[in-house]
Amino acid sequence: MARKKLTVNLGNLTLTDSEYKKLMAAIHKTVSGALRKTDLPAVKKRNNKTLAAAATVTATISATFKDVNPGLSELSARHNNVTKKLTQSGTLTFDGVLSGDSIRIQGKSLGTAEISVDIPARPQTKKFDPGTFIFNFNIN
Amino acid sequence: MKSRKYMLILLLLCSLQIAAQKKSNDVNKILTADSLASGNLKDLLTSFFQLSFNKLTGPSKELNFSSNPYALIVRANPDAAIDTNYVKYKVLRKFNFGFGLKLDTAYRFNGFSSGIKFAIINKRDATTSQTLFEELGTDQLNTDLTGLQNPLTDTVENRYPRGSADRKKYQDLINDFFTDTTVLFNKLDPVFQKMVIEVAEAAKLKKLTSLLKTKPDINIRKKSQEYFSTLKNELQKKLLWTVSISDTTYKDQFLFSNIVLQTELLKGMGRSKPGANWELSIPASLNFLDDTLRSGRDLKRAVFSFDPGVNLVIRDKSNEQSFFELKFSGEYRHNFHQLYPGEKRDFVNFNGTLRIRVINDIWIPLQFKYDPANGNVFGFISAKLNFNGLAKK
Repeated sequence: MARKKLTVNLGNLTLTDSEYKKLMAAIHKTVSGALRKTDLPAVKKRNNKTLAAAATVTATISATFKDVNPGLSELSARHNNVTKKLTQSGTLTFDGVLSGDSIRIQGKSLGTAEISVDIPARPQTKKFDPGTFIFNFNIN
Repeated sequence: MKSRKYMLILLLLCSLQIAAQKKSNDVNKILTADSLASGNLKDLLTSFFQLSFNKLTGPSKELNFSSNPYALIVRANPDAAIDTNYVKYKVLRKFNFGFGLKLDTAYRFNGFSSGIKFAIINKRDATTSQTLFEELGTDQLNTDLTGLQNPLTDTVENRYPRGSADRKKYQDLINDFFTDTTVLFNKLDPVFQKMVIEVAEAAKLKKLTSLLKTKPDINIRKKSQEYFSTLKNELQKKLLWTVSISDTTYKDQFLFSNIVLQTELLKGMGRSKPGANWELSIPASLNFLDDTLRSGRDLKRAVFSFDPGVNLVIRDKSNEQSFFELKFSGEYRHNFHQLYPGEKRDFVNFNGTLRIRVINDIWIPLQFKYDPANGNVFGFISAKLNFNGLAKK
């Protein structure tokens, strides 16, 4: 939700510095008291480690396969019934990712695999020895 | 007295090996193709580098270092291992180079040695095998696990609202179930265990359902990797064919005292049985040496050698790692050049090599040679250190 500014028009009123401070303090007190009565949700401090509850973002999945020829690795990532695939090191992007979602990863490689996502998630990076792998990026 | 001392060392190493085997039940351990390779293969083609002390009990001792140039490049630039770069080093990965010092009985310098080796055919390379890749993950357990991920995640996300602590908890448990190599299924949250079995049953994942119900004390990640280990073991039976050239210099002059052209073929035999398998090893070489009957130094003496044999590889059943190997071979030598007084043109020997893996990367080979014509037996003890641990990025 976009932020909106509350403006109070004082007309042609001329005030000294101390009068201005007193008036602003009174306005803040009155407005914040009125807000409490309307049961509006308290404003939370934004935490960089989680996405805003209703904000959708684009997530980029990066995969690096090592000690293996290209084409001898496979990664399949799925979010909201959209599946994207890689057969060598590279990236995949998913739009419309929400906090609480999961991006589902599965695949196999004859080399080592390191898979990461660029938005806050549990885990944010995962490494695998050669073989198969299945896991989810759980978005914070 | 000296041989008794070496036997005692050998016995000590055997007991160390047994102790190491006892410790090998570590749940975290994931086996790589490299760790499953036999000691015989490591001597033929090293994957990172090998330091060897050869013929420690013989009159001419050797201290050798051999390495793979690609492994050294990766050590300096880890990005060379990324698949899109890895493919560019195809030729370098097939090379080994080495150099060493020759020492006499009193451990005095007796000349330099160097050599290069190239794998003409290496079907044992697990990083380039299309067949291995196609078979990977096709077993029923891995197919079932792949089929479980979406319905299980959907169940958690439909049952617990976005932002709730339960949703986070069960989402994290899904990852523990699929990726953690230390947690057993029956030690996970009981509600989660029930949920997994219900979802697996509903999705008709019979193999997985039966496994979780009958053996709840399994680690699913470890179990799912077993099939890959079996595939890699099978790959270790494929053909490896190498050619090499090596030389030795004199101790007092930078001139070659001998040049050896060698080829060797290694191939697994028969069906793999848990615990043991056989390898066929066929080396042949042509050795150019100084003819000491002539004045000056030359390489006019040529000796052909053919040493076919079989290598019995005994593996630890718990982790499929080779820990004991016994190689028998018959050696035939033919001298193309003028014979020394009393020397035979053709010569036959019977050889035996016993290899013991002391710890993961250290092998102790004990080599015996039997000359049936004279009834003589010779024995040499060596030590081979494969430094693969240093290759880890």
